[in-house]
Amino acid sequence: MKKQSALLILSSLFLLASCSAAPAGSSSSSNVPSSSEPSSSASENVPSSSEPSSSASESVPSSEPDSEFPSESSSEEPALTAEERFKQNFASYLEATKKAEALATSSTYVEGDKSYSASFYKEEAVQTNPNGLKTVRSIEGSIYREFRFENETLSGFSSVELNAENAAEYREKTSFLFANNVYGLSGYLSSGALDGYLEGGEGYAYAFENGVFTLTSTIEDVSSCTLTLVDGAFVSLNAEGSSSFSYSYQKDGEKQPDPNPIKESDFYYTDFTPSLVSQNGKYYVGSSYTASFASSNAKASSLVDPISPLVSEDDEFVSYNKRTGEFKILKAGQFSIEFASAHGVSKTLNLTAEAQPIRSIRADQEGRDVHAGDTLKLTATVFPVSAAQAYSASLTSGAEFASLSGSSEEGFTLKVNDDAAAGNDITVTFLSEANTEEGIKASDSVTFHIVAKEAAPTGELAKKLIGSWQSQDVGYGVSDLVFASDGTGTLHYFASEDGYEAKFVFEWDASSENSIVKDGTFFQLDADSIPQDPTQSDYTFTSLVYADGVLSLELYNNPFMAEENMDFTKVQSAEPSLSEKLIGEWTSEDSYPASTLVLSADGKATVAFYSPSIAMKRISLSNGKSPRDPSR
Amino acid sequence: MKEGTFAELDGEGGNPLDEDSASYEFVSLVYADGTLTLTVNNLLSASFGGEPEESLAFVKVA
Repeated sequence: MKKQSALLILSSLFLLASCSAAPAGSSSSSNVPSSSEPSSSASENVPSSSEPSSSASESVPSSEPDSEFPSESSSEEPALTAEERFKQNFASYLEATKKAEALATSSTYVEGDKSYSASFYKEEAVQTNPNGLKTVRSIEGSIYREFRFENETLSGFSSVELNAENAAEYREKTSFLFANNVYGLSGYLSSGALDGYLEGGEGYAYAFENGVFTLTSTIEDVSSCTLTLVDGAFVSLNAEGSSSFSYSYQKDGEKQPDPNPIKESDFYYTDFTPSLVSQNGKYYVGSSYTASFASSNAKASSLVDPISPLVSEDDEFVSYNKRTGEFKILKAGQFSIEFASAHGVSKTLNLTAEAQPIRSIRADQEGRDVHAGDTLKLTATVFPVSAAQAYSASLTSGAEFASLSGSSEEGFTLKVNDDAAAGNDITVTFLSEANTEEGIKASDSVTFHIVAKEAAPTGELAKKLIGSWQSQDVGYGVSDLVFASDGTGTLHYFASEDGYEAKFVFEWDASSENSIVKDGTFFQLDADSIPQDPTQSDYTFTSLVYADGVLSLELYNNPFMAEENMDFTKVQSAEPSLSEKLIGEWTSEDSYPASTLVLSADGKATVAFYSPSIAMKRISLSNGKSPRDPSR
Repeated sequence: MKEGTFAELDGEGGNPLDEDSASYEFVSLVYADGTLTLTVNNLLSASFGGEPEESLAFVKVA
């Protein structure tokens, strides 16, 4: 329908241009008379007023030698040329046209093979357009109704309560042909189509003969308009040029009531049977369906008599989207939906919904190496994704090395035991709640391999790195990079560009200034501080490089598909931490030989103890699980 | 020092000794002013009626 309107408007502009060299629409006025009722004194084809001025009588010849008209009277009044006649009388012609056309019983607009026609009844216009379109515009009492049909099927309906402000506008719609986006020939002539001829000048020619104006323009293409006057009113327009069309109206007696009027009640649902449209007759949880209504009244239409469902917002089985008109099944089981038509018919639809058969389930995370003490967030996706995302998860191997908790709604958390021995595998298996079409549950597994934590980093670079680093690129907060002495690290990141905040954990070593973060150990944390699967993280680690006291971080922002860079400098604390004070080798001269005490970053300590009271006695002490005599 | 983690090693393979075989038991390890002070009980000395506590003051090797 929008396309149709656009075509009409374009067509209108084109035609206006062909009939006038002046810009169309420059004097657009009301398309139709503003009076609610045509004058009762109007006789057939003759307006009741607005007779052209006497000086412009059609019988008066033009004084122009090249456009003279034969004198139709012996009056001594000065003769008018056709141009003068047209320009001086156009306003009164137009006024008369408006009144005469309002009384017409039919009207036609033809452009090429497109024909628009209307029959006018008492307060009703029945218009047929190209492409099987038909419009019925009518007034009954104080209600204006407009029915639109496509190939005799109702495709649109609207009604308006008339009042003092809008009555004239809607009454016009029942009396004029609607074409080229204006109502009536008078509407077309009022739209500025003939402005060029009203201004005149070089390129415009005028002729008038036997009540017919012939206006010719050679401003651009050669075009002409033939306007036929009857009793001072234009009754037809024929345009010739790059585009040709004709517009006319006729009056065949007084308007009569439509013998077969269309009534709103013709389209009411006197009875209906509701259903939800399903391809296989089944209704699945998670899927959405539209309603359909069968009725013994073949013409019944929800356009006129809308049917509304009565679905509570807290209905546990179904929800209704008023915007889309779709019903979404929320829960398996038997339930009912109440429907009521606007004109008082109510029906109940009873349905049975079942879980949607699924195709498969797939773990969202891939298997990887994990360490004792690690925590992982695990989820799965049920296919098709429109199915309920309901599944369970269990440890199908390695249950002695980890624990699993959570749900498909919130995700599962895998916690690797602190004492989980390296070399073992942990397998998590996801199992769908719903069955496949074969009647079995779908499953998918993911396996994690426990590997030992590597020794804590040592060396000069490690000493430089251990501690806290901060960035001068301030976002909503200060980005903080912390290297722990046990080889783990954390990053609290505030993007300087958009203020985005994210937290990460990683493992590091100090073997190379260009490769500080261990491969596959950099994870973004979720809201529960659990490492996310890298494929679901906003950021991907690119590099962390140390050079001249500066750590240069590069991350890839996945949603924005852009690199982000940030430099960090070490936070110099005035006082070293107790840990920093303690870690290292200590010696005591209280004994002979000297005793030694070594405190390691991994929390272990060894003592080569020589009693201060017993010379040469050496005792080795340790708090580690596998202590070794440091003297060995 | 974490409780229960201090163990004396044997002189052969560096294996932890059980409590009955150990000659020392841990008392404390305290840091103050750049010095770590280790205090242990010499169980052998105590068994002969001597002063059981022995302390060593450690300084960090630069």
